Amino acid sequence: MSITWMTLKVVRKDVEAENVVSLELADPTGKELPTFTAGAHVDVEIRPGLIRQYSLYGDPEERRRYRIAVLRTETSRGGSVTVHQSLRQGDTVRVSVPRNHFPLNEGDHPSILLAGGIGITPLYGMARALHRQGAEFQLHYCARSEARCAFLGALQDADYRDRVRFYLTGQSPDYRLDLDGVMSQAAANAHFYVCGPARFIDQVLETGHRHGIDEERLHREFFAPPEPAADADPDGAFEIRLQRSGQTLAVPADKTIAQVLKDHGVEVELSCEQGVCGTCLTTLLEGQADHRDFFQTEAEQAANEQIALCCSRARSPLLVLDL
Amino acid sequence: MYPYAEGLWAARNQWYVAGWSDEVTREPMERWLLNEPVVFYRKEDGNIVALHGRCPHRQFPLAKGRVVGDRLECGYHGFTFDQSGACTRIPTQEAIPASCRIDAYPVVERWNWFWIWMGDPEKADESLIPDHDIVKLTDPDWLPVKAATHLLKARHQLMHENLCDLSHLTFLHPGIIGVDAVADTGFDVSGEGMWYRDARAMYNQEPTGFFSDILGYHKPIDRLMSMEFYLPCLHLAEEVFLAHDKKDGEPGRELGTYKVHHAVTPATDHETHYFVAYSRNFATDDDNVTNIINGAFAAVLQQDVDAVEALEEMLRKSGDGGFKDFLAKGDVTSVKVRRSMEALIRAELPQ
Repeated sequence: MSITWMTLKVVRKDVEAENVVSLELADPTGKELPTFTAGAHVDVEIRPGLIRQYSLYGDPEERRRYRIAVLRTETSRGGSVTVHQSLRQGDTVRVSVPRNHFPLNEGDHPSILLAGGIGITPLYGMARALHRQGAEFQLHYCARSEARCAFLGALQDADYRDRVRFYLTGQSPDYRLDLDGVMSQAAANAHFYVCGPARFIDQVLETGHRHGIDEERLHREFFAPPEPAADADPDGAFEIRLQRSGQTLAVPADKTIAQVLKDHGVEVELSCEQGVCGTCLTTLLEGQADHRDFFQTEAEQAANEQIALCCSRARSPLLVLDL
Repeated sequence: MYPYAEGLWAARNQWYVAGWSDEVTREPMERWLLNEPVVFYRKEDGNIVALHGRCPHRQFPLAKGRVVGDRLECGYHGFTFDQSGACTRIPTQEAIPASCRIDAYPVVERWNWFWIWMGDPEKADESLIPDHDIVKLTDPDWLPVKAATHLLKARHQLMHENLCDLSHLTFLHPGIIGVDAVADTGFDVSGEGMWYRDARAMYNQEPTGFFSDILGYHKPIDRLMSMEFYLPCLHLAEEVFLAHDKKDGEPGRELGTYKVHHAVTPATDHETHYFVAYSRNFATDDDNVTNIINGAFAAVLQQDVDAVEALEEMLRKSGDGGFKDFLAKGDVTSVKVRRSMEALIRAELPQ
């Protein structure tokens, strides 16, 4: 059976850390589940109409269980609160077959795993996979406090515990992760994997770019709609540069890119103006878009190669468009 | 071909519902599927055989022939074919050249319908057929019912897109299943590739007369409505009815759920088979409820058929190239499905 959705049963629910619960999901009849690899995630339908993505942190060789960990976020759109409050052992939920948008790169090179908070979930699985392969790796795990560190005990007791470093950002600055240090000491062929809040990911990517680490070696995963980057005006203004004409235009908070272009006499083809039809997709040459269209797939949005001018905004101060 | 890019119509390397099990007997039966005539019959052991329906000799429809044992004999000059499509008899000669053969297609019977694979038989993996327990056609707690069969005078894409935008319920099916809230309620779209789902929840609704009658409940209800599409053939509508006895957003007591299974299979470029079933988990032993639902669904489905046939006629008269349709929020699923269907078809084109 290889349809996209399965109905699985919550066979165990545990508290992993402050505001983090883990769920074990199994087929109600005990059948083996589709395989996955480290970094994979599943979609979980928490209740009708409410679907969220969670990384699988369990052992891929354990064929009858999927394990996910869920952080409760009060600002969430209801997913995590429902998991924490309403979902009980014995309940069934619909779960998609695993997909992996965040796979480990194959090849002989060191891997550096950078986790921010609940972003540990895919990286925990990766650490175990790398350890099993006998590969060289480091896991850097940032959390606000020990109490909020999911899998703390398991990681402290792991065979590979000497490769794990914890950074508790709620404590003194001495305990903070020195990204520059990690990156400057890394081997020239090392691959970096980052998962966590958008701000944390941005920081890692930005540091990586500063160290001249090319995109192929910087791997990231984020599910939640990205928060505005620290240096971007929240939901607000940014600039666009038109590569062909060299014009730089300001996009104020209350106007779309398309409106600004039109105001300046730049012709762009528009149709739905809702991010549905894909007519206004334009090549994005530089900058991180805040994708708000429905046309592109998750993978296309993550690739960040095209932007819908009618609705999308920026997570970096400047977007360079092929116009 | 509208609404897909030029030259793109339907994918072959896929399973499609070809009909109802009881349509196939020891008498050969012809059905057009993906622009080909296919002849179906049952072997002595009851299994279904599906062969290309045109005799390679004089192009006579093989469905006008007869079944002899497990083989099919052409009703014109007696050419005979076995279940693999190989010719076993040419009445005027002894030699049977290997080139005298017809295609045979994999067929799988599930529940009361049968699925066919028209593409490369090597790729016909049965596990790609949606699980009939999960879609509640073979779950013992649910009552499945055959609802309707139509041969639409319209291309298959039009019915897919009809089913991908439920805001049409408000305007095309008012009173029975359509109320203002359907079109006015926002929806979540999920899925990618071979499966999509859109879902909306409507709280504190006065039940329509139809809903009151089947649920036996006259107070306000919550409706959790969703539409799934298992590409490229099966749409699964679901309505969960809850008593509105909690505050908005909190599920109340379930009154019942039904699922409607819409199988949409291309026949020819401009004709489409439409096989509809439904199943429910309430009042499963009450024939009166079955009769009420059958009546309501027959009316609703006829409205859908009329609508997509009107679209096809509009396209036929005005030409279906050279324009781009205006798309709105309600088309999010349709647009995603178009992209996936086009990708399936493109993947089969010669490189």
